[in-house]
Amino acid sequence: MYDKFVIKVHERDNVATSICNLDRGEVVGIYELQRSDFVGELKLRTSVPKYYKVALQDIKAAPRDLVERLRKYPKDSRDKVIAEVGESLVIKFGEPIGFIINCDVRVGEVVNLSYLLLSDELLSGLYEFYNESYEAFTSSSEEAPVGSIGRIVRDLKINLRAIQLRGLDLPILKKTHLIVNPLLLKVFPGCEVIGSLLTSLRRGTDVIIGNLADLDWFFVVREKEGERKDVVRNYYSLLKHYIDVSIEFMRT
Amino acid sequence: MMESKEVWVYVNEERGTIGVRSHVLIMPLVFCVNRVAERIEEHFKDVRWGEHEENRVVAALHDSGCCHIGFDEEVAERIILGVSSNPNVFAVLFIGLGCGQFCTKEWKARLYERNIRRVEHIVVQEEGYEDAVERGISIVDDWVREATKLKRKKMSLMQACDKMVIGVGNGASDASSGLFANPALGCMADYFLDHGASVVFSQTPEVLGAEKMLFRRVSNFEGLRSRSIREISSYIERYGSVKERKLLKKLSNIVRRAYLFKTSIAEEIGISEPTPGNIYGGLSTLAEKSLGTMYKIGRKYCISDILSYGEKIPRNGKLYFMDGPGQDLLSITGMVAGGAQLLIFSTGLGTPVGSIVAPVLKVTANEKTYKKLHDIIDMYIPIEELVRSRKPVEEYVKSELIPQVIEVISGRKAKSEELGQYDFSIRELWMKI
Repeated sequence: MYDKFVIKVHERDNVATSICNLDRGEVVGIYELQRSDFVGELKLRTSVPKYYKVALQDIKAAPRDLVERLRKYPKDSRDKVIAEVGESLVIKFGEPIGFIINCDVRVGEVVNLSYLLLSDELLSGLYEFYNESYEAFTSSSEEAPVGSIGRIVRDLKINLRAIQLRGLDLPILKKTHLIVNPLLLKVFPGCEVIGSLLTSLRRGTDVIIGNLADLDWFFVVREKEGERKDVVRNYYSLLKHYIDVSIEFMRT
Repeated sequence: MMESKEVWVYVNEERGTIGVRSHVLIMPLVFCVNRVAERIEEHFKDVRWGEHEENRVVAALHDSGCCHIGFDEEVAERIILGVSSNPNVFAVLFIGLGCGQFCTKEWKARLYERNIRRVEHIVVQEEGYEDAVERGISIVDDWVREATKLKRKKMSLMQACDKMVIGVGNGASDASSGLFANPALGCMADYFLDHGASVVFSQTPEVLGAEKMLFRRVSNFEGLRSRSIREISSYIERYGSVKERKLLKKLSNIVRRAYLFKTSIAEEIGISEPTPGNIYGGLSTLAEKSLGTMYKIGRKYCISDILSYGEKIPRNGKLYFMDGPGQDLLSITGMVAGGAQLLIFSTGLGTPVGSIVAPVLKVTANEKTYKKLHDIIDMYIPIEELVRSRKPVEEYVKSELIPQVIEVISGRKAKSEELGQYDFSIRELWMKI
């Protein structure tokens, strides 16, 4: 019997979910809901926070140029995106829920959402910094988990709430690359661009860096005759303008 | 063979319905008269009836009823009418101002058509403000006297389910919802469908990303399980019945429209789904959230039909999908307006949401949420215990959770009722300037 375990839903799944905070190096049982039984065990290569996903197999990252191409030229259905990113798919509930970007994921590594496709320069620099500067201070004798963007961003505390974009307008977010936050500037003096944003975000949204992209960012539902997408779009455009004007008015 | 469980319910012979509650409802027809409704409700604030003191006078305060445009007007009217004629309502007092869109409509006649006799309609501009309050109190007082004399009747769960609609929903989801809470909800849905109750689910945005699971539920052909969306669609197009083909078309249109709506809003104001709360709770993508959500409708039954928001739900022991918003309260209100007498809601991070006339039971599998918010959560699924004993969630639901639901049907208050969460809201899409 295992003290700690992760939950796998479907036999086809290549990720499982932790139900408590798990540390790197721990060996945990894999409990499959479909069978109501343990189906194996897993040695964790990274820490896995409660309710986060951990890879049960090695999963290759989708090539950077493919992701860039999908971002520029979205497909017209989810199935087409799935066909393009094939072996990078993350499967949970027996169905694809996203695909791996930024870097390959190895079995036992955390899988976490990323709003950013990181630049190659930053990605390689990040590993270098992690291995040389940070890893040297850790007491663990574990092999450095090269390839684990999840662990690096967690250990360096630059994931989740780390990078704030408060005060920036959406059009800026949507069209330009992001400027690094003070923490990353320490790590990479002079670095101006850390990557491309993969989806439009609301003002004030925390930008999460990880290794999993949402399939929904890469396809658009084309309008058919008679559908009134523009009505909705114009309405919310008007609403946003109305709110902005009101805020401006209150300030003055 | 079904177990012979028994329940205690209010039977309304005239309407041919059963209620799990017997509330007196005060329904303002426009926000301007909310205070009138509130004052009448305050007069009866300590009055309760029923064995568990589960029934009371409730005022459905809202901020609608004026300056609606097109779709909003239709929806508001449907919600007011639907909630007022829910089987859990013993009597309803409409309060209008006089100049609002709904103030002078023939509400009484419309409820009479539905065999609802205890209905009154006060118009404040005609009665005078204080007089309206006084008259309202006098009317409600008579109804309360009548209602307190009502007794629940014992019947088998099968008999009761025959006339029941149960709604299932989810809110404030996290990773535990899709793993345990929604599958538990699904087991309950299957259980009540087995007993002849209709089950309804809503929250259209929460099916985006899980269309495949949804489309598979149009037909009970086993071979659809491993097929892609395109294959499922073409199979049903070729071999499905007329009803199945229609249903698939409706579902495709709803999903398509929801995507168009979502993406066009996102293009303008950058809405990110799942919500930050979902993401911090371990749900990374829309598909992950939606796939987990779909477990709430169980595994055994096909979707019988798709209803519009607030539309009357047939009581025929089938599974229905109501096309409605993802927001908890609005989805609950839509299902209650459709006639749902009871709602079961899964939550990960915890929500106290309730409904104006129907008990809303909450189920969570998140231990932290249950410990912290046990006063708003009715049912807890102990994940570790289940895993260690290798017990399927279905077994736990049958032995531990279903009896609790049956108690609430028979009058025990849900936590939302104990908290006084008699929530109500009317859906509005468009800006009112």
